[in-house]
Amino acid sequence: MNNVVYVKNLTFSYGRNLVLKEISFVVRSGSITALLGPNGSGKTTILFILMGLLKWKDGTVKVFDMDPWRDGNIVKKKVGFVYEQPTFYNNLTMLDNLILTGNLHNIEATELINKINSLADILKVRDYLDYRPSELSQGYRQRFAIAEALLSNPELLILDEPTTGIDMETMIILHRLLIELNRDKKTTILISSHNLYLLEKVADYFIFLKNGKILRGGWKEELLGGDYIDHYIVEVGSLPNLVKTEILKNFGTTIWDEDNKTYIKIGSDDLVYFINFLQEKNAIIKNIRPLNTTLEELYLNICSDEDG
Amino acid sequence: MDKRTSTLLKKELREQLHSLKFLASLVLLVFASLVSGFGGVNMIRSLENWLGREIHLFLGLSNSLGLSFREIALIYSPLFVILISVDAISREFESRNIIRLFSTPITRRQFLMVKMSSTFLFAIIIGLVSTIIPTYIIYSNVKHVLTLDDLARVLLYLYVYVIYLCIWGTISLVLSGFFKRTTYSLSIAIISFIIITFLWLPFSIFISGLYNIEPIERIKIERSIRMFSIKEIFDKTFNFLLNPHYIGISNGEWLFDWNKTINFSESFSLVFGEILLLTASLFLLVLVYFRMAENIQVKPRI
Repeated sequence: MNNVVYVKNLTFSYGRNLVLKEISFVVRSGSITALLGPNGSGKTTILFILMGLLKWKDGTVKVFDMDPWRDGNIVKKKVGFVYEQPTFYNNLTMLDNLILTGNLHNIEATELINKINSLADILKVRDYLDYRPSELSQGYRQRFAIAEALLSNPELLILDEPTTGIDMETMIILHRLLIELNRDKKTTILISSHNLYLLEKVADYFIFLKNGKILRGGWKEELLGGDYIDHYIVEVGSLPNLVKTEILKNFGTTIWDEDNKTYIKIGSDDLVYFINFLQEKNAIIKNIRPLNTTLEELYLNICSDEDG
Repeated sequence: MDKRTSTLLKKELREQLHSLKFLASLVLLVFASLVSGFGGVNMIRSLENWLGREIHLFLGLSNSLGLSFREIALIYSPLFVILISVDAISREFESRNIIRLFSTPITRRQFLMVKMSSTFLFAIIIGLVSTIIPTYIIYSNVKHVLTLDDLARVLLYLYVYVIYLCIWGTISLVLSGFFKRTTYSLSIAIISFIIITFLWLPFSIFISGLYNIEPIERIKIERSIRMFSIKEIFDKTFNFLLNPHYIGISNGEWLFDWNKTINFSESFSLVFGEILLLTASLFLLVLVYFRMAENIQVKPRI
């Protein structure tokens, strides 16, 4: 896999306020990489640097092997960008706004109109093309911003908090669109969001940021499986109430019944003792499966640990 | 001009042409030019009776009803250019549309070029409107025969006038790009305009008064200081180009010759240095303006 984005020892400050501290990461071609972190962790600053909107001094930043500040006009032919609070020219209709962007991308007129219509259908905004930005809700403006970013068929799509202020329908559209773009068009996606639900569904690589430092980065399987399995679900045949009470007393865990079976959620540290306990009680163990860590748990683990 | 630049320029012109401030400026300018023209006609007729036929029509242009040709050129027109251009860059930052624009393959230099082109275009429109309307009214009313000499004077004047307006436009653009906030850039542009246009003369008189020397020498120093202001340079050029009775400055005093009208080439040679200075000033300002391209950054909101 080639690197679409290469960042090495990037340090950046706004005046005396140091916001990125020697961070290094790559975004691999064809991946959906998620940037996670609390507000002020430096996510948007990274995206702005990658888009050539900010000039950095220390470190190396390459997008498609080019310097996004110096060669920004070449880089941006291959990159689409969706900003958290999309803005459009209020004196233009949404159609004119999209045509303006298409022309700035040098897209031929007929192809541009076809592309706008097609994206308007996918994003369900066709009825709003003649509206002005001020007449639309944040959710619809966000849909148009996504359409705008996709006009030039970007090889890399960068999304900065694309779920801010959007409704569930837009979220579902976005979710499906990202998956399809990545699967069908091999679009590399770099997404920054607080929406862990969306990120867990779509991303395959995670970068956790806090206070301008990368705390951890890794593939989804690596982070949400393997080392990070801290609970197991043990499935047993029906258990007498007395045993259940004893389990609750000794292991303080969660027990529930379903289809004449009893399920027990047990921490990985207690698993061996728990199996012995069940055997002593002559319980029939039917299945033991790892309970994967959720992104939410992982996020809290990583980003909260730093404070301690 | 490539497609990207022309697309952005069209957008910019459309936005400006639909803006209230442009329409209001244009209406006020046309009104002032009409008053200036008709006022000029009255003035010429009365001066003709007083001084005789040799009085040149352009003298009338500089005195009429408080909205003279001179006041329009020196005060109103530059103010309109400032108003139109002072938010050209800052409004893109304030509306955050700069993020959209810079997310496309448009370069920072192209962006600045578009803003400058539209400002210069409006400076030309303002220059043409405020010159042609009064000139036409006066010519058509006093039945003066337009000579080649007159035409050359008007054309060269128009060049200097547009350069002067473009200088103010570029100053506003530099401020707009530097501050990225319209309130700041407008305030600083207006303060600069007031200092250069209205306060520079009293300032130069004050400074020359500090020297304990002969009055004539003091006036020379005062005039030297005045020539550090683009308004004073333009003012002098204005006088010499449009009024052929100005023949020079001697010992700090203007010299007039009411009987012997000098021709265009003589007037031109008297202000050639000033025209060159104004043109060079604009060139330098444009260089400073494009240096900004290296530093136009967009910061995310915290």
